[in-house]
Order: sequence, then structure tokens, then C-alpha cells
Amino acid sequence: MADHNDPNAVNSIFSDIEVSSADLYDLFGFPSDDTSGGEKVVIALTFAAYPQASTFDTDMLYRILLTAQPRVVWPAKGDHSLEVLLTYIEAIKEKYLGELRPSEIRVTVDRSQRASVQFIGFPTGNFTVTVEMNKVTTLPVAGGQPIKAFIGGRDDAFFNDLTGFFRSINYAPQFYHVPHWMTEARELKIPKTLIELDGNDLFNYDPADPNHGRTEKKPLPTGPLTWTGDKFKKDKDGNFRFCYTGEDARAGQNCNALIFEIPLAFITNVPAKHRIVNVWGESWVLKAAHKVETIPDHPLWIEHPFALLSSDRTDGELRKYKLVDTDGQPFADAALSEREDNRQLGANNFWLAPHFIKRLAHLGWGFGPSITALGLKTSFDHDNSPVSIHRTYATALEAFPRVKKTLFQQLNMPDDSWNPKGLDIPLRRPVEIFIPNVAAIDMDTSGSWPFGRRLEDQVATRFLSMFLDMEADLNGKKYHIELLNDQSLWNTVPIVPKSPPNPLKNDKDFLPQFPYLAEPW
Amino acid sequence: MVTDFQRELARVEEDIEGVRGIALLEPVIHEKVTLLAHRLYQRASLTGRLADLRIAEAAISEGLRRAPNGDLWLLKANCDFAMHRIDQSRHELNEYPGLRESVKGKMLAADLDFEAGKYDQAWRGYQHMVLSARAWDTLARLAFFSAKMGEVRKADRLYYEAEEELTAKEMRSYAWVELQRGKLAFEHGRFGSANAHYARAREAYSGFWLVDQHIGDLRRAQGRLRDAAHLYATVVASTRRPEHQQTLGELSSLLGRSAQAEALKRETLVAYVESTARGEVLYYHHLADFYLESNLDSAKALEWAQKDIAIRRNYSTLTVLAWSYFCTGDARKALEISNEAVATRIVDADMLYQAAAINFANGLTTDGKKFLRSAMSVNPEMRKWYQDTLFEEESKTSNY
Repeated sequence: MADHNDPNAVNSIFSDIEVSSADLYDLFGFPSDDTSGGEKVVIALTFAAYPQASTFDTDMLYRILLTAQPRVVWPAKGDHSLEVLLTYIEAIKEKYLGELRPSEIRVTVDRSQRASVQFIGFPTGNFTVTVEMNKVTTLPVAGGQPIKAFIGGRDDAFFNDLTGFFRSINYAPQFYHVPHWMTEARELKIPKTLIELDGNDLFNYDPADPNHGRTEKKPLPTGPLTWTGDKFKKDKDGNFRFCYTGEDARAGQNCNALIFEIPLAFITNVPAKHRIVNVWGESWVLKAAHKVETIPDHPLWIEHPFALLSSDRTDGELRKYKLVDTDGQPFADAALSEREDNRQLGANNFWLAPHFIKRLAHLGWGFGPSITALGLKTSFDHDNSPVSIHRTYATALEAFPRVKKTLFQQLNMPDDSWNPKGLDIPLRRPVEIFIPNVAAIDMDTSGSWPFGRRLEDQVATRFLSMFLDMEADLNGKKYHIELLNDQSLWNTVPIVPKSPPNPLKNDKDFLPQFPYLAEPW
Repeated sequence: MVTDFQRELARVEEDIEGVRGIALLEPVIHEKVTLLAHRLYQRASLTGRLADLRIAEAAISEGLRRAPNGDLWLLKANCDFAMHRIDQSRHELNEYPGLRESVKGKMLAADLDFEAGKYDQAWRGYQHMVLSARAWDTLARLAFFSAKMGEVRKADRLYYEAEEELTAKEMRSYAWVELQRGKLAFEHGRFGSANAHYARAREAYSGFWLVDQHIGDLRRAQGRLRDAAHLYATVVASTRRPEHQQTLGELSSLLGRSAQAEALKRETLVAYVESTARGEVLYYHHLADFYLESNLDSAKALEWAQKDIAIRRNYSTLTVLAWSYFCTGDARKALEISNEAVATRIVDADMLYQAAAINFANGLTTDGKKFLRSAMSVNPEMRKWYQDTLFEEESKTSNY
């Protein structure tokens, strides 16, 4: 999933875990602005710059998986029951585990730092090319437009107040030295919130210690890691304290990346019909056994539904590797899957659907009341709670009524720029955005999230906007996914600092031409 | 050419040098103190040297004094476990909130249970861990337990599963698991398979003394004493541990290198005794073993075996105690202790052979033959040495 804080095994937030090249960062995907010669889609998978930017780890195998499909319309308005939701999930599951065979771009790098790029399962067939690293390469395609490729180091295009995000979810490892073995001391049992809780001294900003959580961590206190307050924090002027500051925690940082610009006609034989390109990324690490010599493979059942169901699809090369991380929708993992190693299922995250519903409800009890406290309308039903609450659910059935609107409401876009052709394209709903966990790029749109993900999209803030009530309006205009990025909003609400939660743009300008991500620092 | 072992050790040493001078300067920074202690412990684990482990212990203790935290308590508990301070290690798991209930804590607790002879508890602990936190080290522990219970195929399959969890970033761990698979084969007389696993371990992680030690044991069993001695010489040069010196001394003796054998024997005993004089308990078992095998002073062997069993009462310490009693001529007491060892249901060829001899000495021929056959069944290589014994015992009571 697209974030910088991925499964615990590679998560470098934990002070005893080294940075890993398996740590996927972001998956960008959007229709290329360059339509000369036909429609193209830009896909960029970024990951940790290890061993260093522009040098790839030779034990790694990266995959970008793609399918192209017709646009699917959600069932009739008003049919928003749990039963319908589960039917939808079942249908998606059947598709992904049934007849669907995604195409794949598979990349490995050898000791000489030459990249081998395999194109597998595309309509034109399979082929492999060797690509020079850190250079734009044009790959000819028989009978069609070429593919552009870039494999190498880039500026990390993720601009985000990570510290603010972790403060809002009371994530201990960002602020304290938490031993990796202490799994219960991650998201502490303190309500999630956008605005600080009165007396939450473990996480509230301390002007006497401004670097806490940014560049410094403290020893984990041994006392109760909880909060027993009952209200939001206010200063003497009646302002709430924002968990976020809008500062870019990734400024000046690099990543490694696989970037492709691919003709739509290369991905599908019916580009006029298949207008949605679903993409997800995976990182695989060579198994120890195959670094030594090939040990005869024999089928091995392991207690993991994904592995069991996909074992017949795993080819000989892939069996030598172990899946570590997946990347689809931004924040699907960090916000919704809690970054557990065994939840890294990528597109095949159907089993997590009940968990997503429960998790979204849990987040809603935190973010919902804080949105209301700011004078805004929330999509989450929190019974007018005056303060954020830490609540979890044992079953999706229990959680569903609270989070129903959040799941099913259409997310309004700020203007029509996302739909340049003015087509009758329905707005997307969170339920279809996060299940399956793929970037669903709509080729008839600009690719702005959630219709893809453009480099300039501030997706972290857009994710938070899911908890706004899209039926409400502000100054005569319906709420939309860019509302929380609007400085004028923050100028009017009782909060400090008065800034959008996350930076509005990247620290380095993107390039106007392929590979679009800026050069590394 | 730089070996994998040398490369890793160099990285650890570099990290140590990076923090050594500043870790304990005021204000003490939690992260640096912990990093220093952790790296020192890592170095000790790599080198196998007791001197390094003692340095790590000192750093951990100082770290706990200056900046106590959960990581250091876990390190301390592991250190004490490595030094056979079982009760102390168990106590330390409760020194930091949540440590005992964590996966790492439960793993160590299960290891402590095994070491203390609480096999049912250990089994439940290992099983629960695999179900709740499937990882190579939890699978390897379950494999080890299965091997001890005589479930050889299951153990090897579990070791294989553990290997499947390991990536190219964990080659030393992979080599270690291959050594366990090799040892499993070795203990059941499958020398060819053992050799293959050891070779793969060496290829996976070059320059590792632990691989040389395992291959040395195999060569000894194969009768290739010169090769075994050569390997053990490199092991001793690397670890400087007295138990490795003891083995080298035995090999030297077998090779007729009497002067060298005697010198090594003397140095070994000195090192063991010095360790106990420091208050360490790690070498009680080895001292009992030393007096039984090298010096044939069964009274002293019994003395050390009794001290060892007071700390941990498991199948191994019971076996040594039983044999010590047997060698001092107390066959009846030997039988009592041997029966307790056998009742653990651990399947160990040496234990079973000794049980056979003790039963024969007590006139229990039927049980003696049963144990001898079991020993030879576990390790068919034993037939070479013990078939005559069995024949002799059978001829006493049959019509041969």
C-alpha cells in the first residue's frame, strides 16, 4: 500500500529495524497528458532508496500488475445494505481469483546494476528487455506505440506531515523507543483525532520539546499508556490544537522507482471499452534457499489463504521469492490494515473486508467527533459525541450502521477538471476505492485521486475527507475531497496552527516530461 | 577473500565503535545505550567467545542501570539463558511490563521451560507461538522440539518451512537452520544427508566457525580424525571456548598426539574451573562430562552433575547424573535417575544407550535390550559400536 510505513518487518520506524528495499512507498497512476500516438497511462511505483538512491538491491523483485476493464457502476442508489456490500465483495473476489489474469511488469536488477524488465501476460505476448538504470529508455513495441521506462533513483514524491498523521492516531513508535517485540504499544488505546485531546501528554505537541516525534524519540514511559480525559484541548483563545502542522516530513528525501508510460492499446485489445486500468505493486525478496542453490520445489501448504489460492499461479521464478509488501491505494494499509505483515494482500484483500468495515468505524469514532468539534459535518454517525472515543468492534455487523454513510457516499470532486470530457462518470465511493486495494485509473478522467493518483494529489488529506459529509455544504458549495486542503477553511475554524494538515505541494517541482518525478537530491 | 562471517562481524564492530565512546556519556541517550548493548551481544553471538559475552553482559547491566528499557531487559534475559542462569532469566522476563507476554518473551519462556525439563509446557508454548506468530524462529523451535521427541520427518519438514520464511537478507539464519537439519540427519546416522546440509550451510554463509564445528563432529563420526582435528583447530582459534578445546584434545588423543592432547586437557580444565570460580554455572555440565570422559574421575563428575541438576533438571542433565552414579558404582541410584530421564519421552540415542547399560548393570536384561535396540534404531551408526554389546547380553540369557 502506498505509504511510508509498511509491514512491520520492513518498517524502519522501529528503531531496531534497518531500512529495507522491500518497503514500498507510493503507487502513482494517471492518464498521460501526452496523447500523441494514442492514449497512454503513467505508472510509477516508488520504494525505499536502499542500498542508496539510484542503486537497486539485487535480491529484490518488483512487480507492477495491471488489468484493464470496463467501468463498473455501483448498484442502484439507496441499496446500501451490508448484504449488498458483501455481495459486491464476493463478486470482486470471484473476478480476481477467477477468470482474471493480470498482466505484469516484473523487474530485477543484477550485480552490474542492469535491470531486467519482463512484460508478462500482455495481449501482444511476453517479452523481456534489459534496461539501463537511471535513464529514460524507449522500448519499441511491435505494431504499436513504444513504452517509456525509467528505473532508478528519484526525489520522493510523497509530501506529507507524517508526524502529524502519527500524532493523530497516537502511534507510539514515531514518538517513543518501542521495542519491536512490543506489538501492543503501536497504536495506543487512545482515541484517534484530528485535534489534540486535553491531557494527552504522551502525544500532544510540547513547545518546550518541538522535535519530539520529528527528529527525536523518548524512552517509552512505563506507566499506563492511555488517556483518561473527556474533552478536546483548547488554548486560552478557545482554539483547538491541530495534530497536523502541514510540514513536509519527506522533504529532501529520495526514493527508487519504476516508472512506465504505457500505451493503453498495449494493455488491452479493446481500449475503447476497457477504460479502467487497475494497478497494484508488489515487492518480493529472494528466499534464502535460492540464494544458495535451487532446492527442489514441492508444494507446501501454509496457513495463508492468499498463498493457498494463488499457489497454482505462482511461476517458477516467483517461487524463489517471498512477498513482503504491496501497494495499491494510498493509506489502505497504514490507515486501514494496521500494517500487519499478514495483511499485505494487495488486490486480493477481500478477506479483509470485514476488518476494513470495523477499522473504518474505529477511525470514525476518532475523526468524526473532531470534525464536528471544528464546526464541520461528518459522514460518521457518532451520536453527537463531544469528544473522540476509542472504540473497536468485534463484528462488521455491529460496526456497519455507524460507518455506512462513510462507506457508500460519493466523494465530491472540487470542480470538473477531473472529468475533462464531461462524460457521465459516477463519483467514486470509499467502498469501491479500497476493495480491492488497487489504483483504478479511469482513462476518461485526469487521473486525479480517486480516479487514479496524480503526482500532485495531496492524497493524505483527501483520505481524511472521506469522513466529511459530502451532502453538507460550506458557503453554498457541497463538501468535496479538496476541502481540507483549502487554506480559507482553516482561516475560519477555531484551530492552530491554521494550515491544511499536509503540505500542498512537493518540495521539488515535478518534471513536465517523462519520467515526471524529479531528479534525486 | 572476505567471508560472509568476516563481513558481518566487521559491520557489527563498526557499529560498536560508532557508539562505544558516547553511549554512556551524560546525558545518557536511551537509543545509543541500547544499540551498544545490542551490538555487543550480537558480536558475542557471532564469535561464540565467552569473553565477548561477558563484555556484552557488562554493557547490558550498565545500560539497565543508566537507561532501563524493554530491549535491554530482553537482552539481559537472553544473556542469562545463554549462561544457564535459568531462574534469573525467567525472573527478568517479568522486569518490564509486557515483556513476558510478548512473542519474544514467550519464545524465551518456552526455551527456559525446555531447559528446565518442563517439556509439556515448552511444547504448548512453541505450538502457541507458531499459531500466533508464524516466523522462521518459531517454526525452528517447534522443529527442534519435534526432533527431540523423535518425530524426525516432522522436524525436518518444520525446518524446511522455517527456511521458506527466510530471505536472502538472512543467510546466517538460513545457514543455522541448515545446520540443524544436518544435525538431525547426523544424530540418526544419515551421514550423507548431514554432509549435504552442512555443505549448503557453508555455501550460504561462508567463514562461520559453527559450520566447521558441525562438520568436524561429522568427520569424527566418519572416522576421518585428521579432518576433524583440522576443523576443530579452526573452531578453537575462532571461539577459544574450552569445550571446543576439549573436543580437540580428544581428537588429538585419538590421533596419538599425546603431548598436544594433554596440554589441551589441562587448559580445558583450567578454563572450566576459572569459569566456576567467577560464579558462572555454564560449565557444570561440561565439567561432569570432562571427568567422565577425559579424566575418569567419576566422583568429581558426580559432584558437578549434582550441581548442574540443581539448576536445570532436564533429560540431558539427568542422563549425565545417571551415568555419573553408574561410574561411581551406584547402579541402583543410576537406574532411578535414568528412569526419570527416559520418562521425559525425549528420544536421544546416547541417553538410550546409557539407559541400556544401566539396566544391564541392574540385571534388567529385557529392558536393557529394549533400550539398546531403541538406541540403534534412532542412530543406526551405533550398530557398529554396540551390536557386540547387544549380542553379548543376549548370549547371557539365550541359547546362542
